[in-house]
Amino acid sequence: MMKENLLKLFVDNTTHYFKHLSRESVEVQVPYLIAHHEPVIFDYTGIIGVSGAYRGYVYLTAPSKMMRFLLQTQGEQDYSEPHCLDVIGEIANVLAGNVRRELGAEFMISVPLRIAGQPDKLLLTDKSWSFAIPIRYSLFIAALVVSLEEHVM
Amino acid sequence: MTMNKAMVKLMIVDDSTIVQRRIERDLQLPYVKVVGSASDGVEAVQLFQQTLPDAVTLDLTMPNMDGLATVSALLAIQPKTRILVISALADKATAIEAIRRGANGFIYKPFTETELNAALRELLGD
Repeated sequence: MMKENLLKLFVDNTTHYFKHLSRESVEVQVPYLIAHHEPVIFDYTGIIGVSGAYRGYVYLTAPSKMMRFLLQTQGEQDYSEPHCLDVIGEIANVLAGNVRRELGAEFMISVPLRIAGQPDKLLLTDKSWSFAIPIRYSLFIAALVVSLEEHVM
Repeated sequence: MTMNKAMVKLMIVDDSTIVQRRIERDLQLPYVKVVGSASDGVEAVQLFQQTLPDAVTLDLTMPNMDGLATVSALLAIQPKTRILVISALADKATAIEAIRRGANGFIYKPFTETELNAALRELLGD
């Protein structure tokens, strides 16, 4: 699939997810190219490894205030770090898993790797393209980063 | 298949405790009692052997033992158990494979409270 179409899938799925979550405003903005050594990163990050027809990573990264808000939205009252990590991983899993509706089971995804804080380095695929998709949800800004290369099976 | 509405024991399996709690909170079927929650397939098999639930909601993408393997493992213990898969994996092939292994229903994440209860009602023959 052309990368423009692949990115559109992620944009559409991300829009659908956040609209589904609550009545808060959501604007998923135009993806922009990022260098593999300059990853976009906020306070909490959920990383999904991708294998099969594509290889690389998809990750969702968001500020702690947004995580607190997301927990509130889901009826939770405990905003501790384990819960923030739980939610960021779960949302990343849904955003990556939902693209299989179009890409099929050959878009294989891992269980989420959850990170709090700013890691020293985050491995983006340096052999391919990486795009950040800005997400404006309510008063917050987060990003979905898609770092993939096509793999001929 | 219509199950006994006097009490249906439900087990929830998902690697997210937030999702586990949301399923329990959204559940609106008075004849369904949650007997426990598990975070992966291995834990699910252990809890299943202890509680022998009538029905299970089951995630697919989990550590240690994934959901498809868990479907087979749980039904090997108690074949009559009804399994509703709740997964982000939105492709048809995965849903078909889950059903082939013996799952009885499939809904996609994200799901609404209405979708969850409708799927459980259908699962339980209500």
